[in-house]
Amino acid sequence: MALFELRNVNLTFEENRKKLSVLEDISLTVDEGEFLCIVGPSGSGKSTILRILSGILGNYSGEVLYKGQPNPRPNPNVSMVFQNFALIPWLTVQENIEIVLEAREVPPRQRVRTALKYIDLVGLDSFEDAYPRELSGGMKQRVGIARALAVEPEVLLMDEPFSALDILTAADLREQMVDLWMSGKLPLKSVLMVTHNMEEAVFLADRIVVLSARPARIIGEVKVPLPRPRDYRDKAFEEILDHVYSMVLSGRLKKSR
Amino acid sequence: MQLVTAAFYSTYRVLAAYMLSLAFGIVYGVAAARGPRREKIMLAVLDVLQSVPILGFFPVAVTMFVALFRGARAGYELAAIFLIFTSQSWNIAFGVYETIKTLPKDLKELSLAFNFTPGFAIQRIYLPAMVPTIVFNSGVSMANGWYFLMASEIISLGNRDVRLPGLGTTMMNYLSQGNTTGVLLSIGTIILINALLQLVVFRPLVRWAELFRYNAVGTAPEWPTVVDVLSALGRALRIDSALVRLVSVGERMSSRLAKFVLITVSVLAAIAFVWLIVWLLTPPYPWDVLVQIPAALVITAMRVIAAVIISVFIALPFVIRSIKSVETAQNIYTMASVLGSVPAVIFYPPIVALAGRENMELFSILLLLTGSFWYALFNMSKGAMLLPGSLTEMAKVFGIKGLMYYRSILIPAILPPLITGALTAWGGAWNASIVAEHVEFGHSTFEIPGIGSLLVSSTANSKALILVVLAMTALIVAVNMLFWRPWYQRAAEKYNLTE
Ligand SMILES: Nc1ncnc2c1ncn2[C@@H]1O[C@H](COP(=O)(O)OP(=O)(O)OP(=O)(O)O)[C@@H](O)[C@H]1O
Ligand SMILES: [Mg+2]
Repeated sequence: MALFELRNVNLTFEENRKKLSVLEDISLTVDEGEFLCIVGPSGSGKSTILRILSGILGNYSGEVLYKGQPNPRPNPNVSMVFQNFALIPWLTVQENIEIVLEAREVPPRQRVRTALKYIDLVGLDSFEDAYPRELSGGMKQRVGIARALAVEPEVLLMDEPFSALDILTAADLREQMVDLWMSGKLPLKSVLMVTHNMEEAVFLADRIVVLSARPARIIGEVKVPLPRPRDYRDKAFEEILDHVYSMVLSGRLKKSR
Repeated sequence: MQLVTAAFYSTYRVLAAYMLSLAFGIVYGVAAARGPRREKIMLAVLDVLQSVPILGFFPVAVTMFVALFRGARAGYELAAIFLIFTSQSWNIAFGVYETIKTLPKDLKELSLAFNFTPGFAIQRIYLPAMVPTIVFNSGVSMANGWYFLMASEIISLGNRDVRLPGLGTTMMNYLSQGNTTGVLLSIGTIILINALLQLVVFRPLVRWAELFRYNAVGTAPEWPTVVDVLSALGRALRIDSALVRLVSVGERMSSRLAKFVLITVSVLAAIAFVWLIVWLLTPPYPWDVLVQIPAALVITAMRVIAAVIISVFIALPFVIRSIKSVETAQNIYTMASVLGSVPAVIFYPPIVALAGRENMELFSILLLLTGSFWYALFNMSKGAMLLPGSLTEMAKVFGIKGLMYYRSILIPAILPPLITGALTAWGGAWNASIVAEHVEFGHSTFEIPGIGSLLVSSTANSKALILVVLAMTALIVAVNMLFWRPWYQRAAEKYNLTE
């Protein structure tokens, strides 16, 4: 069953009276139980798609459905991990998580319990009282993930969650993400992640949607039927990665013609 | 003993005006920043209000308040608080506006993505994000309030002189009695009060404000006791929820009540304005004063420009030092808040009397400096403190030193705050010019030509008085719009440091 369905979504920004087409005729679905990755070059409009799904943006044309109904704004069943963490500097780790629960009117006792549970889950116990400025990049993104999970969404949106991190930390967090996803501990139904890192997409996703450069159109999609945990040096892995690469390249060739 | 009660009265006035300024500044700033349709006009109004030479308009305001209260003491009291308010609130409103306009996009999207209601977002994101600006601008505001204390406590209406109990009046009395010890003691009291306020309230707040900066790194500042006390007080008095409600109203100007209030106020203002114009246009015209206005404006403008340039240059070394360390910046803030609160206007008459008419030109520029320097210093060092550390580190790494460092890194980086500093110094100097050009001490009167002395000499004719003030305001606003704002815009775009 499709949780999200986008039908012929178009979006144009207007800046200094110049029209800038960002999304062109985007149609895609996010199915229940899948880990979907959208890859595309920088500035193509990946974040814009997530902003539409999470209800931040509304000035698109076309249809966005959630479980067959028009996507409510805001949609309380989705939550988001930000590229640059977006932690509130004057709140501690625990408070940063509690505030989104408070916004959803979770009672105080339960807020604390839930916050601590997810802090534990991402391995940040004993850092509850630290301020974001006192954390490393990897730890900040763990808070971002814990916060997004704490509202127990059906769909988790992730906007290049690992691209602001160093390679080792990113690899580490990616593996933990797989573990979490596989463990079944989460009430999560689907994950939609946006990235420009194709290896990352093949490592994580069940299915990859490839976008062209701006204005974003869908070039094609690739299924990744590999068992998890995956190995970058695996032959099947490399084949799929090559496939994704060639798709991205072909998109670029078509553009330049 | 007299000094203690006087100190009590003055402190209460300054603090009451400051509370009003805070509420006004926050509500106005949020309303302007969050409504694209009203933004332009609200900003323009604020710009004009900030440029109006308060001291010039004060007689008008007093007449209004006194008439409103039929001469009761409360009317004078409110007039005094109003004057102090006008010296404090505009810069807070501007600060709030700027903070919201430059609020990191991530925080805005966060509140949307996690479906914060507008009220919740205001309370938990917008208000806290304003803390650094408010704390910083409070430095200027408090200093300003004390600076104008004198003028607010001694109110002359026509041939009547009303003196409200307070440090300004006390000091004036000592001065006319020739009691130097008394004057010094009063000044000492003002400095003491401000030093205490700084030590107990504002200095801890400045350190704490560090916590609210986006993308800061390093250990978090400690949570000072003042904040606990203040927030407990605020909660007990329900200030927080009242503020949120107020801000939400300002934000949703479309709500019927807000619209009604807005329309009523605008209609009243329009009627008053039309009435004023009609009254000004009915003869007889005060030609004798009118013909003097242009020359007087030019003469005063030259003094003001000199004061602005000197202010910026004196402030520059302090600003450069505050870039190098946050500690220094905080010390400069404290020092400036305490020293800036000294009402220099008081020393001026005896100094002029001692120095004589021939040196008055020089001393008038010094007085203008006391009205402009603190503005320049505060605004410039605030900008300098917010400079990203990576910039100075980059200069170090590439060995950029000496003249080149100043020319290619430092000056461009602090150009936007430097312009803001100069702009506010410009307004402050004009304001001080009203008291700088005409001095009465004992039985002698000293005067130099300029718009300030023209204003004083035309107080008897209210039409002439208003025309002089209007001409002055028009010039200040015109220069702001044609010179300072465009320059700031260009500098801010070119040397934008926030990505
Ligand atoms: N509010 C806006 N107004 C105008 N243009 C915008 C706005 N938001 C995004 N854009 C433009 O839309 C395009 C797509 O932006 P988007 O952030 O979705 O790209 P992205 O694929 O996420 O890029 P990146 O990989 O760098 O994060 C960009 O060219 C950007 O300039
Ligand atoms: Mg993006």
